[in-house]
Amino acid sequence: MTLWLRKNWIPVALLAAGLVLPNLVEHYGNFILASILVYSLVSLSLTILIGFAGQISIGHAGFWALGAYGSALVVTELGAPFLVGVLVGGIVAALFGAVVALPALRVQGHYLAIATLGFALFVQQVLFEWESLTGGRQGLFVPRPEIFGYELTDDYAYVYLMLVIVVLLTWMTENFRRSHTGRALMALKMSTVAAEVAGINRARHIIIAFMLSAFYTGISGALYAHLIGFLSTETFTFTTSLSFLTMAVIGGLGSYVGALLGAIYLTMAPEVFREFKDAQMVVYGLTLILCMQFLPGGLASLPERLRSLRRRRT
Amino acid sequence: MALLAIENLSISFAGLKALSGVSFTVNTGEIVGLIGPNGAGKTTLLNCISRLYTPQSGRILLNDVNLLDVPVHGIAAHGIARTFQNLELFGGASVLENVAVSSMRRFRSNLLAELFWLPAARRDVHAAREAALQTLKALGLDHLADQRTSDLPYGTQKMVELARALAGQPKLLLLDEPAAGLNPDESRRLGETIRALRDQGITVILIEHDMSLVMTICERIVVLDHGEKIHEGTPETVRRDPAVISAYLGAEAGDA
Repeated sequence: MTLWLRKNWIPVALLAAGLVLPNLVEHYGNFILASILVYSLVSLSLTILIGFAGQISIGHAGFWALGAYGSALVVTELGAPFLVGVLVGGIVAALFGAVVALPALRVQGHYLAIATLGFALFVQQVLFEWESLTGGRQGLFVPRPEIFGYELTDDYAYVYLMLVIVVLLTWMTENFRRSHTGRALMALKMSTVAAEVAGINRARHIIIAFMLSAFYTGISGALYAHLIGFLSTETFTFTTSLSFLTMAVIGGLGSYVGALLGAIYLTMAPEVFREFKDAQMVVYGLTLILCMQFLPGGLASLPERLRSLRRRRT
Repeated sequence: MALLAIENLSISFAGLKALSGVSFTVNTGEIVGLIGPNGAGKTTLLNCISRLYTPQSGRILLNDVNLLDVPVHGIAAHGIARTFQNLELFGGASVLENVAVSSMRRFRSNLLAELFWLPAARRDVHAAREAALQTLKALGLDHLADQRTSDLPYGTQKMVELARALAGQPKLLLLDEPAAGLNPDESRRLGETIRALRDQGITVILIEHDMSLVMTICERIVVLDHGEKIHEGTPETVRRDPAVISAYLGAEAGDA
């Protein structure tokens, strides 16, 4: 038991923090916590896509939007329960994920990035123009989350619900990583020819990676929609996609702690950088460049990096 | 009985003929050497058989299945495995993980079972690891199972690649210069290993520049030069063939 605890103290500590923190902060604090949890799902989704599969996307705002609008519309128009809406949001995004995976079968790197960017712009534009469904420039009001007939009127309860979802999806990510599909993806990333010759179907696995990543981001978008209570297509711009990517890089790809740190960064940075007003994007960009230059493993690699620096000094 | 039949295979890259009209057969349980000077088309031929390349004309029959209808990721299921001239290992992964990638094919449950870590998914991962470990034991590499592949010496990495190919349980094993970079002792032991594999019923096509290895273990040898088959025969006939000697030693030897 103590050995297990020594090996797993980080997730245990994080979970404990997640359970205690909502009680220590005021209403706005819980909104911040909820935002962190929403973003951590996007972070997790990029861990799957970039960290495991070695693919890139600068269009994840598109999946986020699909999840947000998908859930909001299923709940408002069809009267579906909130949790069904969230699941539908994830599934809609996953279906589009399969479509976005198609260019990834042919092109990589910059070209794939541009294809994903095109997808996100397309989604945003269609949602904006489709006024009868999405309200267009008027926006769309989204009801508060509701579970088994109880409305979660404040973010305090919603944070706990999100916590359950985030823990569940993190566990599923880890299962995916250690299962054959996850291992096959990482083999493809390290040597595509060797993996293919060993019997791994590249197309199938890349499509799965995109679908799973899109599913997570769709779930995140759905949770976000019911947190904010109002959707406008201005939320789902290219800047949003880029900030997602920034979050993943700054947190550190390929570790769950990194995914969480990235989400904390993306949530807290506007609070801190607000001082810079119009220069905010410049500060974001600079942070990203500095991170890639001096901390390529992201914040998650900071302890290891400091240790190696100290070793070099002595 | 012919396991593999190469029929009139031709492929060119940007107008340059890499293979032209190459035909030969490989019988079950044979070790066939594929030799020739650099650029003769040996690796290209292996890449055609393993479906990394698609030839412009010709056929490749494996037990009467036309391999040209099989995608790259399908050849393992048809019983073909290979190694690579320049190692293609999963460098960051452990030796066991590298080898297990080949055994994964035989243990696949569905994605939902994997996401929820259901018993089926756990059994698959365990079974693939066990199968990989058995392969490593058979090659005497099991003590390295947990080592990072990229940390190992070159010769050992080549053996890991052989283990990975064998974990796919092939009928036909394609080896692309397995002895390159090995010292004479390692090379001799590799020869013994290949023979032992043949005795277990695995058919082998071997590309190799180490002539002593080729001459001692191959029953038959196919010689390529400039994309054409210039000779096919036993080690004795190859050694005496003037065309082979001239291809290897250049024009002066041919003139002499």
